[in-house]
Amino acid sequence: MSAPLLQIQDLRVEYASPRGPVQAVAGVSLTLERNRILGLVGESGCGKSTVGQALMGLIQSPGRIAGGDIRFEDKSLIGLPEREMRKLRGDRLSMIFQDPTATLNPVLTIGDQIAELFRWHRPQMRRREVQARVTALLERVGIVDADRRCRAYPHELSGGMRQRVVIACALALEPALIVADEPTTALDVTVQAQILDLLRGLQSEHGTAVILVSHDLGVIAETCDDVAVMYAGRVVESGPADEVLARPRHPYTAGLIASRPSIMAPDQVVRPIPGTVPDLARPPAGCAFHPRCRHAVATCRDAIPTLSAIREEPRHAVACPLAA
Amino acid sequence: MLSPVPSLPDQARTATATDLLSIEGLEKHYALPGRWFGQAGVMRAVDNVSFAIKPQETFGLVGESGSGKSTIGRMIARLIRPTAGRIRFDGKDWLALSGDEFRRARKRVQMVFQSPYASLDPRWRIADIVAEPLRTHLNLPAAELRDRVAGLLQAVGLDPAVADRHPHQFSGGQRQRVGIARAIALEPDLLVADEPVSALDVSVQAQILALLQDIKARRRLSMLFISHDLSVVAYLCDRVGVLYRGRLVEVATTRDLFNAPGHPYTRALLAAIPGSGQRREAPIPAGGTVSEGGCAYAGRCPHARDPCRTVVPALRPSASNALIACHRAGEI
Repeated sequence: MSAPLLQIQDLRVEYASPRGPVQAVAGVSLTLERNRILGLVGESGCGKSTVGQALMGLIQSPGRIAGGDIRFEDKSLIGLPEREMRKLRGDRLSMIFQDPTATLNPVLTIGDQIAELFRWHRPQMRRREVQARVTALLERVGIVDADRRCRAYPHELSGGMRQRVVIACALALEPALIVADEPTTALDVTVQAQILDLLRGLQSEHGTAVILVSHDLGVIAETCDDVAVMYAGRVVESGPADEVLARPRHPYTAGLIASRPSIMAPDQVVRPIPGTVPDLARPPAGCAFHPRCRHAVATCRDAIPTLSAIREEPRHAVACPLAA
Repeated sequence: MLSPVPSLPDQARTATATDLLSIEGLEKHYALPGRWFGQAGVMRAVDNVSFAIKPQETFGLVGESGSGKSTIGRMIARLIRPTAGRIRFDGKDWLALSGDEFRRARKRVQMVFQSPYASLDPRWRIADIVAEPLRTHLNLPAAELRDRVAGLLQAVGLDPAVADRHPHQFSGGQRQRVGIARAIALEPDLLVADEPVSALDVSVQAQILALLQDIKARRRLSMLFISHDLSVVAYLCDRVGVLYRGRLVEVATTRDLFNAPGHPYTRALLAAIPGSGQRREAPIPAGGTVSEGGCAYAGRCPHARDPCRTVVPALRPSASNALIACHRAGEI
């Protein structure tokens, strides 16, 4: 059996701050196979976006990768020279950001922006071939009349259309892995549905693996095969998405689910998680969730629980001494 | 009491004497700039919108960006003036009130905004932010003012000891609590809440929803709850109006709207909610053109026929007691 497409081991990312180092990612391990969609879910500050950025080699000072390894296509990305990383980025690995307006260059037509990727990564490709690829890509992301639309500037398109262009850019060189960081958060719900359909289509047609970073459990449930729930820089629960969301074992995952009003059961009372996320410059001792946890016992304050598989379902792992 | 008007289903009522707030034919137009000078046309941000809110009722306005939901909220709060239409509050012509009369009525309608970061002055102490409406409208002795502020902070789940702090020392959820404390300070009859939980994390969102639920029950106020998030609306509202491009396309009780959505747009909106468990019949078409004169949704609607493209459908009572603006409401 070949190595998995992506293997992240004990990744640590630290940010220097006036109050001392902040561990944004405090030992995260993840594995992703080809043709799978992995959801990274959590609230703001949990480190989910930082994992995506580390993967793309986008951690910049005052941040640094403080430990661990990222292996992609059986090659370590940590310590890879920027020149090498730049070759991978956009080609084998690509990223979709939350805000399409900030991602696109306002003074280039959308056709030129996509073409630029080919000129950079495939300099031998002929102009006509590039043009044909650009048109085909725009059509694939559902932009009708692509021949004409490729001459449009980003400001002439709606938010949903711009995000389609960003996705076209991410797909252009048929990467093995796409990191999509909150790709639909800035979009309306009907447009969101279109973009999620598109992401799922890519995975099923081209075998592209996707890491979908989102705060929205609904988006994760509908799109992902697997899910990793993050809290305060660590994965607290992971496994097949339907299993984890239907039978959450970690009190934080269960709390997140109970926090969300559901249109399926509007009469159900939402049960908020008391308190707020911890200050990562002064994380609580032991399990970072224990100050907000109804079930916390003495051991929760002493030791940081490790992520381990539950008995009934070996693919489902939980970092809670009370759940395993 | 006998009424000469034939009884209409509850949703179909326009103004009655018991409404706290009623809105009729509300319009807000913006001039679209022409290519060189002058005006090229008119954008109807809000187009002939009518609905009413009863005492203690929570009415939800849902729609996507650009649907006009916030514009309606801001017109009700009198932050912007409508182009046309009437707003009646507690039987009075709300837009005609001026001077002292308006100042007195003003207390009764308060607003909660989306961004707890932008809506609190960073230089003010929490105590002053919450006390401001009390200072403006009531002449209270200092000791009583302090007590009132402490009571309000407690009512929104904050420790009164935080009164001397500044907004930057608070998280988003705590700031939104301060914004709510300020809004309920004068014991308003109507709270206009424009996306009050959209900027918050999921677990904190639930805290604020529970707080609004609690305030609604304890203070017996009416609420206009504006949101793009249907799950939140389903949770909090008694009745819901769905807006599409400035027009109301459906008004129904929350239960009816979610169990049996009548308008094709409402259906598409519900099916689009991730995790709703509803399979989308067909991919939702992207974009679509604005139809001149007809139903605004006709360009995206799989059921559109000729009249849909030429005649604007009016809100009409449906068999199930909802109000639906669709030419084909009965057949699809």
